[in-house]
Amino acid sequence: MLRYVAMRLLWMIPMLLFISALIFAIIQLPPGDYLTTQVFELEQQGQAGAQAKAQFLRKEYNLDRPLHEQYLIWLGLMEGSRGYSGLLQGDWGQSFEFQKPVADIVAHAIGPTIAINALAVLVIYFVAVPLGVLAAVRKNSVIDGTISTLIYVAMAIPGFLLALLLLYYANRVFGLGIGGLMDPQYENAPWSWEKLGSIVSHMIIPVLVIAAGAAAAMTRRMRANLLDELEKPYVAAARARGLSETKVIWKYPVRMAFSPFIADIGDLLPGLVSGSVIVSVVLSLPAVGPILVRALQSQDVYLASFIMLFVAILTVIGMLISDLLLAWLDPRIRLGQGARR
Amino acid sequence: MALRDQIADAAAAAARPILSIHNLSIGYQFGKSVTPVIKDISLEIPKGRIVALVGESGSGKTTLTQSIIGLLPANAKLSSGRILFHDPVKVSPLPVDIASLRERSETLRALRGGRIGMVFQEPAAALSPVYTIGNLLAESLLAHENASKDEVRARSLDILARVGFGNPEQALSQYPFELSGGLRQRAMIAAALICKPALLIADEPTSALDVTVQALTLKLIADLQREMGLSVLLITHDLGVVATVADEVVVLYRGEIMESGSVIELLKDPQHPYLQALLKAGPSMSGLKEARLTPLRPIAPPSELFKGHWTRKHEAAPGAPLVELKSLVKRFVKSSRWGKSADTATGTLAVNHVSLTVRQGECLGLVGESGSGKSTLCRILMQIMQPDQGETWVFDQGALRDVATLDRAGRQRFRQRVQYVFQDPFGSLNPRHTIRTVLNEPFDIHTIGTRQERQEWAAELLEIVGLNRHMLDRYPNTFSGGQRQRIAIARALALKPDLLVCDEPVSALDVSVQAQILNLLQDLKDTFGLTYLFVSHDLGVIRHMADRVAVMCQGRLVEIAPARALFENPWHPYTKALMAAAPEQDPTRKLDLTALSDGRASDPACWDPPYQLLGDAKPRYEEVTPDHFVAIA
Repeated sequence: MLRYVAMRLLWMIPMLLFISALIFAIIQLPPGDYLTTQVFELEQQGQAGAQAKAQFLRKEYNLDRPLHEQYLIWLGLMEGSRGYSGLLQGDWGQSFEFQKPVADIVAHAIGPTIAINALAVLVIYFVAVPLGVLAAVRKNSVIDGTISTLIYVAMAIPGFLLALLLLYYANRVFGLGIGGLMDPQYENAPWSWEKLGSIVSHMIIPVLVIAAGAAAAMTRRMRANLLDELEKPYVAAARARGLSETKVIWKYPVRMAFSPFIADIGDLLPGLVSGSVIVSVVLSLPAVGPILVRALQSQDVYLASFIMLFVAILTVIGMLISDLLLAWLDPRIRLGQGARR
Repeated sequence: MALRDQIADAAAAAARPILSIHNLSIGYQFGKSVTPVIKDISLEIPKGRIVALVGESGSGKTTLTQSIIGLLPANAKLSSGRILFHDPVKVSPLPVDIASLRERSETLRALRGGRIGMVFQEPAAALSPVYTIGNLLAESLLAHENASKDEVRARSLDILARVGFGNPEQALSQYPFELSGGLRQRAMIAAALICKPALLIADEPTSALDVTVQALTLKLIADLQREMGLSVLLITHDLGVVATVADEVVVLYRGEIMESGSVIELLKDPQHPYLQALLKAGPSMSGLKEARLTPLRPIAPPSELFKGHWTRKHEAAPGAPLVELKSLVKRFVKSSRWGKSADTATGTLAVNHVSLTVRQGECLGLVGESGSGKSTLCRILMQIMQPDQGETWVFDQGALRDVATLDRAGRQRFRQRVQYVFQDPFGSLNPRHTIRTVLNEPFDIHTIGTRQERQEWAAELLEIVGLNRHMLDRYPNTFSGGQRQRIAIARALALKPDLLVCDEPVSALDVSVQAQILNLLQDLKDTFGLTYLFVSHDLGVIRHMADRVAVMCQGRLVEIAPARALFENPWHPYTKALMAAAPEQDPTRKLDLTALSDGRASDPACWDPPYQLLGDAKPRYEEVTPDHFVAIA
């Protein structure tokens, strides 16, 4: 088992290298770069020396080098204009647009992004599993019908619309603050219980909105999976041993029906990050989604690459976690001989 | 109360049946209509006896058992009747009426598993793969009794030892998939018996097991029944199993009891035509080999009219080799998480140097237990699996040729001349294709005939297998298992093959339907001069069908001989064990379990010299009488 984990961790290195190369190449695919646009704008304004300035910046940002060299410099494996300074040295590069290090821009967004998405994942599981089980066990009842209706509504309603509706009513009914990560008076205030409370109350709506769609989809699948499992002979066998119905359901079919969702943990994260862009914009959250969109639009190479690499790392870690959990939960995987006759 | 009355009461209690069912009727509700499944049934299970409930699929056996443990499906309605359970241990003289209890009631839950144990047909499906045997046993015990951790462990170890686990300690931490089929079923029995129930319901407990394992499991149930004073309700469709262990038998047909009574009387002298027919339908292991089985609903042999078009001019002369398998070897390598294991020696030899000749016009029976390599051998013959070593030769255009060296056209010919009939008629027909599409497909693939011709041929094929041409536009799900198997056979006949490889074609079917299919196959062979490679684990079926028989065990061919010679005078210990384990319909001929040597009969390392084969050793063959070969070390 330990060997397996070690091997998996080792495999992550070439995998991430490959992903990073791919990301870097894809972002550079459109013709031109950030400076082309800048120079064009400067020239339009009739500024002299624009070309000269551009030449200087090109050198400064290593944009005059071929693509693979730029990549190696970004990684920190090759000497650039500022010597060896790249990801491996902890230098995440410079954002063209904001004229700031990427680290400074992303730093305040990464925390909330991870927090909101992790909470959303938790909410998805805690809502979807019980609802799916309830709907399956009470198949074709009023409860099942109600849950199914809720599922369709949650799947069909656009996230930003739900966000706006919730914002409005949360503010009217509960007096929750609108938008942002906290009430404005705490923005630069030192940490305090009030500040934490404000953050928590501001996170409720984004978490719910981001979770809604995925939770609805998962409830549906949980219901369908469980309905299949409930027909299996081992369920009848468990009942025939005289277990209580609750124990029968949760110990046997639910555990089997749940496996596919553990395998989903890895897939869930990137979907949530990119899916929450519009919601983040609507709720003016300091999340990485909107920053990524902006960076991609302006070909802010280092900023965009870093964010995408960050999401990729999250995904790879998510996959590892789901594989380990699967192996832990299912002895057939752990002992590697499920297909034996 | 006077002492005399008490004694009388106790005597009455002892004589009372454990379970008595009075006028039970159950129906299934589909929409507004109710289809009756159990019709006014009454039966009794006496204390300490094994009662067998016999019937085909669809006769209501399963519904009846479900009603006894109070777990009927949601759309089943118990319309009338009583199911009285008299617990012999309980002081209260009043029986419990299970029929009157609600499914979720606490009384009923306490009975299930506590007083009535249940063993299911398919142990692999009835045990959850994610819990250990220890967990299973503890759960079963704790559902009904308060026991300390040590107590649970002690009782678990005790019951595991009693059901025949060699190492109970180790079994506690094993998962079901780590055990063989026989041990899995033993674990299931252990879980059913750990609370010391009064009644054990065994629903087809051995039909998913190999014959040798089946024999041992039946013996186990009979032994435990005697030791623990259990009453057993044994559900089965196999009269051989009934004759082996049961004291009494109840015959169920379409929800009604046809006949009941003691096994010896009933099987010797069946009164009801249904039971008479059922007894005749099953191929027997002893006595004269019948020319034809008597199915309950016979189908007519194919008309001579079809002979003209559907008979191929066979290339090989009758009795001459049609297909020759030469020293085939196939090793399955366990793939680890990091790709294939580099060490090939860790794999299992599924086929170990097997040479076999199929002669034109014969039916070669191939018999062996699951995992013996029968199917692998067939797949290699069919050229859908590549062997690691060895060759397949076929008689093609005047001479035997290696299939691997044939040109494209030659291989195409081979594919037409050799056809496959699969075991599971439910899995081998695409549910989204009509029968017309199914039967046209072979012609489409090999671009034979015009559109009109194909339509006519498809209709003729259906008639050949005894179905009606009006059924062409129906989908597979509208046919019964036996009808589907006939369709699958029709499809295999479409290209006028020389050789049909029949891989367990009747083992998924009821006895009465099995007789139909076996007759049909025999008629087809006679009419069209077909050659069969007939795979089965059922010696009775093989004895009925085959001209020559090959016996396989653990990838090796252990004995091959003309059918008569093999059945009258088997040489190899494994062949002998197989024959000893095959249950007979004759209750006076009990199973000889000594030949099974506690399940070691199918382990080549445990055979006595000169048969003993260690590791992957390749056997030699000795011709003991003409055409009768036995594998020795």
